[in-house]
Amino acid sequence: MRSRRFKKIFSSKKDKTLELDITSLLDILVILLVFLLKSYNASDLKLELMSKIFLPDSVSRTLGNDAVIIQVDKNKKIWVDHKPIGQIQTGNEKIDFLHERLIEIKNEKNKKASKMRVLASEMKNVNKNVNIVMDKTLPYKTLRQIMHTSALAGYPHFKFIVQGNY
Amino acid sequence: MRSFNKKKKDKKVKPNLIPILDAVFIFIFFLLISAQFIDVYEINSDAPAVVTIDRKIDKKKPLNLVLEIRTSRIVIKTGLSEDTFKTIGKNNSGKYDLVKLGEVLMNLKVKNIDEKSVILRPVSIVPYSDIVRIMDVARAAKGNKIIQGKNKKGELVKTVNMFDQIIFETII
Repeated sequence: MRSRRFKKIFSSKKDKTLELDITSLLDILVILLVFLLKSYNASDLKLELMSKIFLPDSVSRTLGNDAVIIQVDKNKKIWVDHKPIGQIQTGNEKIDFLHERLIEIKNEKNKKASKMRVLASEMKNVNKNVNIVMDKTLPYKTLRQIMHTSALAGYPHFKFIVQGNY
Repeated sequence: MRSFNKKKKDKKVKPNLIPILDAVFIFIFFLLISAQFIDVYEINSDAPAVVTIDRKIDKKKPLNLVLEIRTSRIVIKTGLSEDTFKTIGKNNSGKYDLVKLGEVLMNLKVKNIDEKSVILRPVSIVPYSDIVRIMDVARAAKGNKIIQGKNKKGELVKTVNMFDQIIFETII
C-alpha cells in the first residue's frame, strides 16, 4: 500500500514536463524578420558614410555596384575606400593627392586582374567605375574637381551615390 | 467505449516548431549582415569621350541637348550651333521650376525619340543637390509615364526613359 503511494507521487512528478511559452519570442522574431526584409538591399556596394555626409535625395532606383568609393564631406575632406587621404584646399582642377591614390588603386587592381586570366578584360572594364559620395551642400566646382581628377586617373565612369528618399 | 473517446479528445496536437525557429534564426543573421540602413542608389554619368562614328549622314539634324545651369535659371539649348530653345526660371520658393523643365524635355523627347544624351553645363556655385534633382528630371518622365514617338525610320517607339545618358561638359 505504502510503496504504491510512493510510486504514484514519483510518477506524477516525472510526468510534469516544463513547457516554455515561446509565443512572445516568436512575435518578436517575426517583427524583426519583417523589418530586416524591408531593409534588405541586393546591391554589392558596401557603403559606410564617413563623417557627417548628407546625401542628395533622388528618384533613382538603380542599385550601386562595387567600385572605388570617393567620399567628400562638407569641409572638402576626402576619403578613398573609407580611408582619409586629405582635404581640398586649392581651386586647381586636378587634386594631386587624390590622383596619386587612384593611380595606386588602379595599378593594384590591374595586377589582380592580370592574375585572373579569364576575367582580365572584364575586370579592366569594371575598374573604370568610381562611386562618388558627396555632401549635398557642396558646389559643382568640387564635383568637377573630383570628376576631372578621376577621369585623369583612368576612371571615366562616374556613379553618383544618392539617397532614395522619395 | 465512452472513456476511450474522451482520451482521444484530450490529446492536443502540438506542432514541432524547433526546425522553423532554427530556420528563422539563420535567416535573421543573414539579413542582419546584409542589411543596409540607408537606401543608397546610383546615377550614372560618363566623362565626355571622343568616339568614331560611321560616315552615314542623317537627314535629321542631331538634337545636341545642352542644359546650362545658372544660379537664377536653366537655359535649354539645342542644335549644333546651340541655339537657346527655352529658359526655365525659378519658382516662388526660389527653386528651379523642375515641373516646367520636365514638360519641355518631354516634348523634346517625343520629337526626338532616338536621342538619349544630355549635356549638363552648370556654373561652379550650383549646389550638388540641385544638379541631382535636374538629372532626375532629365532621366525619366514624371511618374514613369510612357513616352511614344516616331524614330528616324518612322517606327513607333515607346519608352519611359528620357535623356538618361548624362554628360558633364567641363570635365576634361
